[in-house]
Amino acid sequence: MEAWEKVLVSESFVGSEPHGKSCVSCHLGDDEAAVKAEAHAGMIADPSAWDSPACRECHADEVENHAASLHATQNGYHTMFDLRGAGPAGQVDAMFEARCASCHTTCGQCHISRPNAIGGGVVNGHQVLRRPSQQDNCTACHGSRVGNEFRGENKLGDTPIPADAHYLKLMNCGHCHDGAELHGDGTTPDSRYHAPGAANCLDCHPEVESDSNLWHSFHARATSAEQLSCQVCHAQSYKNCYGCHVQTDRQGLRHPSRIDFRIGRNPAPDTAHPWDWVVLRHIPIAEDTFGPWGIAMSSYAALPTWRMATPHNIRKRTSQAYPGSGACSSACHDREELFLTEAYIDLLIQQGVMSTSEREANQGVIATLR
Amino acid sequence: MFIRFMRWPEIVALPLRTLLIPALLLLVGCGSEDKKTDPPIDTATGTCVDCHTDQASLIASAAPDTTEVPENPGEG
Repeated sequence: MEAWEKVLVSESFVGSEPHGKSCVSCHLGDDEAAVKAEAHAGMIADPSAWDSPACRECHADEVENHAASLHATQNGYHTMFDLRGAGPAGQVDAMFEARCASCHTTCGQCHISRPNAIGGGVVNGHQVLRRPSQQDNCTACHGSRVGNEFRGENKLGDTPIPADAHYLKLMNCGHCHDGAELHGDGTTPDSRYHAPGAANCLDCHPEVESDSNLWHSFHARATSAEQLSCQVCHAQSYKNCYGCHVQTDRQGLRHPSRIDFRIGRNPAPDTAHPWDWVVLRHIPIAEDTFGPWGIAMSSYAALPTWRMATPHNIRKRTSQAYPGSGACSSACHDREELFLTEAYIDLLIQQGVMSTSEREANQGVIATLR
Repeated sequence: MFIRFMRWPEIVALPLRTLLIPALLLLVGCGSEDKKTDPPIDTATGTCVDCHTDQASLIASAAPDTTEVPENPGEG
């Protein structure tokens, strides 16, 4: 976005109810000054930031809740740092503030402008969007995995991986991840999977619980002998990162991401995620990822380094789930390449993509094919 | 011909009178109309809108964008 585009306000917004009535009522500054420097004196670029009453006056609940939300606190990262023994604590805090915190969002960075993390700038002429722009807001930050998956921009080798069925139905992020989830309820969850009101396939597809689909009865229900997450059958290959941002290659990445698909045991089953089998993705850091910043992770391999994934490239029929006789075996059960196995971890260690300490850490999630 | 020498109070008062009348005129808005360096302000809309809705003006006055944007941002 060009510099002038970032501050170009549409005439239709000016004077509109309720947000366009007065610039200075939110941004301060001096709207009677004729010189830029004087007009901008005391101006607040993002009046929706923490201490400003701009949004709070009419949206008190959302503002209050958002302050504790994951988008504001980025607590998922802190949860990971704590679990994997990142330290020293002061160094972690300083590094996070300097390198990562810019991704936290204010109200305006979802509903009015692009996130600062990608350069800011008003979206749609400063119109206040009830549902943030998928292109300029959501996938501006959640782009390298989610956005690419959703829009079908990944390839497996030379073969394009189709877009998510929801994307092709003209749905966007907000259809599944609504304001209640993103604003939160005033509590700070440990991770995105524990956010109150987090998206759940059954919210729109409750028929899975009771329809006549045999695969659903075998694999998708609490009554199933072994329950699979929806993604095991309906997701496609997705991006996996193993140690980005360290020892850069020509592309600035330590190990370029890999398109892969791995089923394994659920590393963290709970009430909301009760499945026995899930799709897994390696955590996007290596043990020494933060070494250049003086940070060590003493418990890096204290828990699995393959975590549950929810790829955003859902299809009704996939290579591992399609109708036909014998499909169970040929499509899935006999396909070792779909599973996270001991042999595959050995291969990744041999290639230097994983460390030997991770072998033990992931024993609880690897699949042993019969 | 009448030649009259000014008394000292008049010597003081004359320049003051010379300045006073123009000053009074300025106060009531009859001063110079030269506003080349001071463009008129449309008080009905305010200067925020005048600048920020004028694409040509923004383009002409925009400084180069030096924002550092990562090529592929995003934790996911």
